[in-house]
Amino acid sequence: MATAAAVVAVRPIEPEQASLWSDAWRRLRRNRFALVASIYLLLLVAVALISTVWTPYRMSAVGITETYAPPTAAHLLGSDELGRDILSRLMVGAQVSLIVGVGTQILVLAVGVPIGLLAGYYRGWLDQIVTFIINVFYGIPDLLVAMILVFILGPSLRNIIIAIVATRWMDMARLVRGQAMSLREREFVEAGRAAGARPIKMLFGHILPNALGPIIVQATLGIPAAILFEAFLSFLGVGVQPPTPSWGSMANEGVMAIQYAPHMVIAPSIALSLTLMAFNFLGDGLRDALDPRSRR
Amino acid sequence: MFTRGTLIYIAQRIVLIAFTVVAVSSIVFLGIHRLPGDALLSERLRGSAYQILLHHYGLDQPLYTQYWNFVVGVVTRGDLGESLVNRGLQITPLVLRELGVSAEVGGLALLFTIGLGMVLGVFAAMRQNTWLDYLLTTTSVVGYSMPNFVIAAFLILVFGIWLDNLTGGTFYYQLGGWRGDIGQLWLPAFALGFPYASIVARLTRASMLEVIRQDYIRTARAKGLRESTIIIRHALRNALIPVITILGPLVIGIITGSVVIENFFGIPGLGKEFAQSILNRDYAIVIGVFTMYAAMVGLANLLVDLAYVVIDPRIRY
Amino acid sequence: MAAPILRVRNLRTQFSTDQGPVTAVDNVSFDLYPGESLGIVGESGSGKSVTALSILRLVPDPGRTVGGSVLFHEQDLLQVSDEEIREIRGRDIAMIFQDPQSSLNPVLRTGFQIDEAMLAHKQATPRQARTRTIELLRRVRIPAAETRVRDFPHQLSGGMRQRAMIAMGLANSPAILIADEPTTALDVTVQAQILELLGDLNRELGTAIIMITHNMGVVAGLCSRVIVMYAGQIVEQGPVDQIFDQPQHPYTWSLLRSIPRVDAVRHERLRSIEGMAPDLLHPPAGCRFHPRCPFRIEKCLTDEPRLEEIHPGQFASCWVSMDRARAEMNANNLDDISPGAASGLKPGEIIP
Repeated sequence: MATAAAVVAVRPIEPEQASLWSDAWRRLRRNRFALVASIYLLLLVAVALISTVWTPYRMSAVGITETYAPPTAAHLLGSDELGRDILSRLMVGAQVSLIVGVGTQILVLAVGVPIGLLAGYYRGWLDQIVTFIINVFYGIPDLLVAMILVFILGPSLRNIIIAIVATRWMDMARLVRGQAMSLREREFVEAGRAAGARPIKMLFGHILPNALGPIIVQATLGIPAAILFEAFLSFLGVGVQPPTPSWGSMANEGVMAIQYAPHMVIAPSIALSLTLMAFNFLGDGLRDALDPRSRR
Repeated sequence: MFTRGTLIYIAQRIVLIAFTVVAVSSIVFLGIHRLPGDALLSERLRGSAYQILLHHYGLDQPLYTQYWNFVVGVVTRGDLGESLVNRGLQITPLVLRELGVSAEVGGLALLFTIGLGMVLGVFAAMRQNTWLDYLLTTTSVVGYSMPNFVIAAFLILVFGIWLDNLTGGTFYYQLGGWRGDIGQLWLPAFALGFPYASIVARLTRASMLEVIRQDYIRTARAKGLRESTIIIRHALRNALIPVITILGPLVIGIITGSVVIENFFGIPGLGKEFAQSILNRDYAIVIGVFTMYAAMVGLANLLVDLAYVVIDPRIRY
Repeated sequence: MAAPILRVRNLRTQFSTDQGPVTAVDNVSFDLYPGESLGIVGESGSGKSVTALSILRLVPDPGRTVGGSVLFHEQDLLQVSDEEIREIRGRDIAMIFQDPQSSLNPVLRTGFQIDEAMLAHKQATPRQARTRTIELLRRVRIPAAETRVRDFPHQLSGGMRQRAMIAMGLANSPAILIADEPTTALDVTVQAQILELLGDLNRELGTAIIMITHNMGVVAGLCSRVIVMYAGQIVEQGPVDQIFDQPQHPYTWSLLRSIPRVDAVRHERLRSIEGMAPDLLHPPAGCRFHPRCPFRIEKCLTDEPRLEEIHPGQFASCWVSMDRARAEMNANNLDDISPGAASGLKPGEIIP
């Protein structure tokens, strides 16, 4: 009898991963908004990559044309207050937005996921510390904390990323912690534990794969949030410093000239809005595709 | 209205908020004070004048003494200290005055967010699966994908410049400055609230659709109530319950957004003060404003919890 | 007999689905007399609840009443304006529902929800309404009515909630009270109390009751007349005593046989009706009950039977009818026939 139980225990039945992912993929492809958003984002990545080797004009070259020039055939999006080509600056700005958006989420995953897994799986003192930090900072406006951090560390792309990660890892940790806590009670995890699987293997081999859906959704929706953060910071002048162009600082310069050169604010505003929208549509699409509640 | 248990709960929450406020401002205080150099470096002072200034701000004392004095000042007198840039400027009265200004804009934005969001949400739910519904649901993603300064810029372009030119100056929205005209409040409030109005609309729609399928709505109809009474009295109040949940994040969002929007429109509120103080490196004010924000967020969350009690009789603390 | 207070004629209600319209109520006609208590019985999906909802035009989307008439005081309720039907709802014809837990609004005080029924029809000032509400709550035997009136629904027990629902239904002294499975969600003891209460109200106030239920026992306890529905149609109707004594439609017969009996021989199997409820999207041709009927003949597969008066006041729509089945078969054998036995029989095997 005991041996029979053990045999059952080492072959725990896990939720069917393969079908879940292929189902999700099928649902995602059928979502037209998510599809268009993905195409836009691929194009954006291509533009950002191209801009590292080629832009129509040198991004920081001053006085290429007259200042505040409206769009012409030579300068498709016109020029700014120093006579720089806006299209070229916009292309380089895409690099900043993508690095901030994707970079922060990679770091948020790297910090939040292990902490959340360990806190949720082991509970104990680690969990208490993590929950305490999360509770104290719960509801303290992220952006303002990030601003103070940038203020302390000094404004630079690297410090902006650090500041955003420092405020956003908690949401990820909270999500993963909750997932780990509920998954550790599930039969296949208990069975694995009973069979003596090593904790690391349990965490990364069994719990993490089953929590991956919500993590992916949260990370995807975290990208536009991070881009928005950087845009806010740069718009206020505490973000990426000149001469590096950022869509936020370009919009800020544009606002100064809004009465006589509206194209200066319109171009970065549209780039920023479209990018945020694309990530949001993609994130929404992923949520609909991966949400187990809509599966039934 | 509130039972004794609820009052005890409120008292506990207030103590907790006070604790959080002190904890958060302490972290900021200690973080900033570990900065290399000090805030007075920009004064380019040397010798005794510099020493007098250091002493004036208590910066010549050890960090733990400074910190202790700061905490005691905040807790006992609500004293947030003195501006490092504008000598003699007391922060507490300044921040309170600015809070009034911000509350006016933020409050209007909040009203606007909830009002517009709920009206659109109810509308979309009532016309489920019509073009209007699809339009509203899609626009809501567009809405919360637009940074508020982008919305503000387009509003200025349309109302401040194009309409002005179009009507030969009859329609005039003054850029910068404020309080000259109550009409000037609307654009900042709209820019501040619009992204969140989209979220409220989405949530209200979903929650309304859930509620109008409930049995008690059928009961209300069987009683012979008017359709408008059914929606307002029976459906809306139940649909509000999940909507209240996002009021907390909403207040935080509006506080965050106000930092950008107040700068944009030149509104002398807390948000503008915060951003300007960071640019001026006046960290005494940064800490002061931040402490204020922490307290406001705590109180807003408490109010949200109490709103549940008012709206849903099943919830008691 | 007095003139009927409600005449339902050829009522047809359809639900549109992706696969086409489903006729939930198909050509239903019946009368309700003042002060009587009429039961409508059938399994779930038989159309009994939709019939009730159709009378007050409360059928939820995507349902629509597409034909027939509901005459009340010379007015066709299906034709009157939205405002007129609203005035009739709750004032002349009230309705109470199955689950008192979900049928009361959780955020409004119970008393207010009853007051509202009167205020909606301008039957009383708020003060008068409150006095009457307390009276009504006493009438439905809620203890400490004066304080209970201020309670929220979640503070009441299930039985008390259903009593409050009944009080709400009676608020405007309606001529008709439609009760849609009012006891199904309640404990057995509470069920009995609610039925007793409804019976008393019917006798004392003269309110006509339409009792929608799947439970023959409820009908026996409360009603004087019964309508049996199957697959959206009326298959049998008549006085309760007569139908319990000698059901004429095989469906009624099997329904009655499936009631568990206290005096049954021990170990006797509980009899159920075999086979599945019909698919209303593609209803069977001929008699809709024929796939499950042990007495079917050739004709049942092709021709749709009509309601015919088999005994005075008792109508059934069956080509065979149980009288004939009894006459042609040995009564003992009849009892042994499993109501689902048709699956093993060829059509016309029992009755040539």
